[in-house]
Amino acid sequence: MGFGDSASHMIFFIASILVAASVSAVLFVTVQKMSIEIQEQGEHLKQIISTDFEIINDPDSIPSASSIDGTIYTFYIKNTGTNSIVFTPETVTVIIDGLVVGNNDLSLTPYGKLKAGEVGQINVTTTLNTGDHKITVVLENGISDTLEFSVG
Amino acid sequence: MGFSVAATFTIFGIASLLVFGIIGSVIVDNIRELSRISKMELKEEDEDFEILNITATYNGNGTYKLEVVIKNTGSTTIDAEKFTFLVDGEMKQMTCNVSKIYPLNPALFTNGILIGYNQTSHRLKAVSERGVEKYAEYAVG
Repeated sequence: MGFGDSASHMIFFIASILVAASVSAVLFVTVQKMSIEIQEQGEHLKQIISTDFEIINDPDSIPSASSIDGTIYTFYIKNTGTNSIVFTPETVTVIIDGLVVGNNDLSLTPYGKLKAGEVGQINVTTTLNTGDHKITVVLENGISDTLEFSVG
Repeated sequence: MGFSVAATFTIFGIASLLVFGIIGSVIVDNIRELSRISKMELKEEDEDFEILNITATYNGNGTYKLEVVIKNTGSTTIDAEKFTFLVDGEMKQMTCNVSKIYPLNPALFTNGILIGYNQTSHRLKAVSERGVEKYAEYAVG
């Protein structure tokens, strides 16, 4: 009876340790995944908060030049955030009066990255009627700025 | 039986400590980073300036010299190199007599050759590093 009693105690002991260890392992792995997720979300949030830019054109006087395909309008983008902005036609979306401008009609200077405090140039080849218009520039992370301007 | 309960509790205890440690450190790191960014955003709100004076002197040959005096009226130092000027909508390079404009200090920005005839009016837009914008009009004389 005494031997049977201690054997059952031992079995219970080993079983409870195994159960506790496996539960802890599962918990640990889950929390590790959660922490990685929180870290990634934090990085994303940090990127969004520290990215900022402005379309700094004088809305009453948008530089323009004639070309064979239409008129080239120049818009100035100033990086007012603390991070560099990826500045390519593939990562920057330009919408004029609700219509997305195709990559072929866009030319960005400098190509690649726009450092903090720098001013970039977006040349848009399009035809705009005399009057009021609206341009929206959207970056790859969804940060956007809008400028209402007039063409004389 | 009693001993196995104690062992289980010990294992759970250690596991929870590890779990709270991991979550805590990640959250603290994120909060620290966000507070750093918030401080920079506040700094941005502290940036301000005024256009004190504009002098446009006609050079002849359809060009003029533009001198703009700007005063830092905010509470942070402004990087003069990161100032942007638009004259009649077009970006123009201006040289500054200082590299940093400290609070309450003025700075002189100059461009010696701009296109424009005598007695013509022009629009100036100045934009600081963090996007503070000011407009002014002047006449060449």
